[in-house]
Amino acid sequence: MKKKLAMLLALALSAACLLSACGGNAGQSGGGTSSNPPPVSSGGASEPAPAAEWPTSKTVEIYVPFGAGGNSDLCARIFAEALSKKTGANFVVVNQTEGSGAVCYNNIANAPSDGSILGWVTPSWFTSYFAGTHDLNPTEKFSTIAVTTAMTAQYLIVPKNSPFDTVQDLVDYCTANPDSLVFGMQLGSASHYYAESCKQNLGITWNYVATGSGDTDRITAIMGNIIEATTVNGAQALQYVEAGEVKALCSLTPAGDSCPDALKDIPTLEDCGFENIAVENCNFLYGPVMDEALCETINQIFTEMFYDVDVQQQLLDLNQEQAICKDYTEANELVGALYDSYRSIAEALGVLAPGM
Amino acid sequence: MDMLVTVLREMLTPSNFLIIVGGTILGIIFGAVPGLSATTGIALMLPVSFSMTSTTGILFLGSIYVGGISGGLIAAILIGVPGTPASVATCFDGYPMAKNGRASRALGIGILSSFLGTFFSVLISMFFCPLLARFAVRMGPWEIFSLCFCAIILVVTMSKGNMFNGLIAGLLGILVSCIGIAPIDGAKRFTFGVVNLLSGINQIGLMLGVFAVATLIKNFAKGDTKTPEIDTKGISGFGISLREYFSHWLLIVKSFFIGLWIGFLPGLGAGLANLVAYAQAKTSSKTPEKFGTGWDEGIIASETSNNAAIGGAIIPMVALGIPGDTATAMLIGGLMIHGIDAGPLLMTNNPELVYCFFGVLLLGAALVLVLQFFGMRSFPYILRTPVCYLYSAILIICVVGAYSDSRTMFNCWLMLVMGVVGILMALGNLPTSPFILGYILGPMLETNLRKGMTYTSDGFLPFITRPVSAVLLLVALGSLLWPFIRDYREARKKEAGRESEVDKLSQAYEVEED
Amino acid sequence: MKLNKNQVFSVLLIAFAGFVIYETTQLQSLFAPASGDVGPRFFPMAAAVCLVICSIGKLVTESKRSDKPLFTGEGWRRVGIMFLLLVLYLVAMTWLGYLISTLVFTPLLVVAMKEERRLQPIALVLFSVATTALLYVVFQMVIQVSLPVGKLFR
Repeated sequence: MKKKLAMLLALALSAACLLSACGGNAGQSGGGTSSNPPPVSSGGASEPAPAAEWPTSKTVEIYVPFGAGGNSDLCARIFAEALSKKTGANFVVVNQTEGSGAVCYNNIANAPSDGSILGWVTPSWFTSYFAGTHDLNPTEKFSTIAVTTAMTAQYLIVPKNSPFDTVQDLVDYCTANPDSLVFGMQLGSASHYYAESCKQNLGITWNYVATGSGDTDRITAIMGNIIEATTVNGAQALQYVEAGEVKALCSLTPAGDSCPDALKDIPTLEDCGFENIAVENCNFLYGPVMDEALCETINQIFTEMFYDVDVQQQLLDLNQEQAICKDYTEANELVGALYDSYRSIAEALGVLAPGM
Repeated sequence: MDMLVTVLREMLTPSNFLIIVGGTILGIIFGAVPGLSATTGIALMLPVSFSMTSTTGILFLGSIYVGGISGGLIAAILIGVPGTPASVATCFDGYPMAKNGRASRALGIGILSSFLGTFFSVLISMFFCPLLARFAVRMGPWEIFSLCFCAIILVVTMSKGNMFNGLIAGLLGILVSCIGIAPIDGAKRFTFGVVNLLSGINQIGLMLGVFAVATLIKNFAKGDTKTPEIDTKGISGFGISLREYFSHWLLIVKSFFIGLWIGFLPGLGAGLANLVAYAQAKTSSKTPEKFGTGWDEGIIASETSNNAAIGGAIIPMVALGIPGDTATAMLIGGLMIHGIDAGPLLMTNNPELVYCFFGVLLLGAALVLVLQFFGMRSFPYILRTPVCYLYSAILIICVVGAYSDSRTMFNCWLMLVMGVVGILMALGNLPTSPFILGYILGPMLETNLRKGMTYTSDGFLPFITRPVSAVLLLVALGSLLWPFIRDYREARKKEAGRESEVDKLSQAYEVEED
Repeated sequence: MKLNKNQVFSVLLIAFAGFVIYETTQLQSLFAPASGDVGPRFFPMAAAVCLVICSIGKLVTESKRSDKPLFTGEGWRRVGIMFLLLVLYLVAMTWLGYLISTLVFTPLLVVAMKEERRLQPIALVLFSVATTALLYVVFQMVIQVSLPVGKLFR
């Protein structure tokens, strides 16, 4: 699973410079530079034990820019519960959806820099910045403490009675009927990024329709035969594929080792003769711009908590298995690389807000 | 049979039973406090359920869910503040009835109706789940648009007096709902550079402003502040004889099915169901003019339908893993934390859990009935509090409630602004229910209209050619024209000279929304 | 011809709709429109146009309607006082935090609404402290919403 992190980094940076990342068990990934350097300079791999203390406040709030009950929120709640147990402080998840996340990002950027207010977020942190929803550059106005990468892949799915059985069927149809396949996604959200990358790699055109940003919205539309194809997260797709309610044509990226049996036999885009997509699904633990030593302490405590057996089990139960970055330094490198990768796709999609 | 025994054994172990009772009480409190709701209750209690076994966790969350939806009627009836959109229509008749000194009767009717709604809708969903869920996913944007359109027309036409006032209020609600990032293409509309407005006008801020702040200040300004009598002494049972209650059986059945049907369409739910059922009850009533003055039928329609929406909402959740409303979305999250994937295989993989969930909803409904039955004798004493104390406390609770919903002071300011809007609307004789409904349905109307237009190359045509959609649009058209036709026929019967249609519109009743 | 209250209201509604229509024309979409999509302007525009039509309808139908005022002069004075207090309360909460502002404004609200009733100072104090404390316990401690601490104390 460490391998994936390294691969992700390599993929993300390939646009800027050709880098080779070596996988391996140690999970050491190649370093890299990003056009927007992180707020603190990268340190060496082996730092002395950080001296900063955390948490210093009785209550630590973890802001999530999504509603309660969503994947990110549940994840944050698992961590909050485990961190409370581990540190004795009181960790509380705050759902602040106001302003489509803009209020949440503003609050964190302006929070006291003692680690009492942190945030947990998906790449919509980037995408909403590119769309102009907020004007706080994620790599400049915040300290990123840790990055986790989702181990589940995205799948290209079609209704169960769809005429397409393979990716090639779909490609042939779209080549013969350009711009007509009804493809569900949500403009500007991660689903748009996946779909567009997939489309470009397949070298075809289809007709985008807005179906809603949640995976369930898109699965509902597929089951009701209202759209002809869409992408969904493997965790969400699993049961529907198993029950034969939808057909999965391929995964857009290689699935992790923990891939459930029902999805094991589904080919990747690469297996089908196309390139896998380079957009990665990840999560960030971040805070206002903070002291480096403090960030390292938080990263260490968070990482220890993350590897807790119970936490791992709960994440697995949620189908949200994740790989965490090695340390604070790597988190900083990753966030820069991911930012660049998302930005270049946003540019290719033509979804950058004016002046970005 | 085995399943029944298993479920009963799980639910009736002393520890689980205590947890269910606790969850139900907690839910009722969350439902009753303005600004909190069943959804917040479940969200806050999710981490607590981590530490329980999966069955206990489900029993706990399920009982909060049932308690929370039913608890809304207490605040709606006693102080005229709907905690959530689900109990908006309950205020219309429940609050006047309480003000007229019949608080216990109003509560009794509400409690009975809410029990019937929950209990039977859960029973129905237990047996017909898979069948109904298939139907639910076949509802495309066309049907949902038409349903919302039909709902808004129904509610507009029921508004008292001049139909133009209802339409104007509905349109204002729709315009308010346009504020923020537009659905589909993300254009920023009417935000004037205010970040807090990007996600739109906050629902709790708007509801508390229009109902609580505006209503309380209006009452105070009109000097309408006498402490009402309370009828806790002279009542027995539910404050209404069962025979009298069940004489409204047709209304109960109709409201029930309206709630069930609206609840099971993904994304709609109790907030819409209660207003539609209320409008329907009023339109088909022999005495529509009595509605809004503390009339039994109004409470029955609202409370039966919003609770029937529970059963509706869990149908797609249990059968397909698709949440019918935000509270069920949260419940699915709760299931997943315990390693249970909600999806089409839920029933096959974890039948005992699913039946435990149904079981706790049924038991919860019964518990709510019992708890509130005893509570209804003491709740009305709140009304004994002198108005200056009562209103101050409510206003403070509203401010704190608005703050806690979004963790911003902005939301408190928004609530005050909406209070001013509420008073301005009263000044122009505009009713509040179409305003709220326009606000709730605006985004759904727009999203589904725009989706429906893009999914096929036929533009608007599918809205008319898909049968369910066409029927709904016809109903909407019919109810828009019905008052005119009815008046025409009555005039013909009387054979007497009659005022012109314009005069008819202008004669209007005075708006007495509060 | 003199307009009555309802007609003035209708005219103001039409002006408001005009403002909305103007604002709608200024809207910009971030993404290229999908085929068949009516775009972000259509919906508010349609609602605003309908609002104009309905307001004209109201203007015409309510010309003969009795011009019964909503509140008396005293009523409007009460509305003003209540909103003033609430505005001050929110300002106080922003700067001084929940505890101080609520302790101060709860009794003020009660006094403002006392009408002819004679208040007992002790009851007033008890009530204010109890309300403030109860809400604090419920929100801050039980459901863990951190209530504002006030900008002055940050």
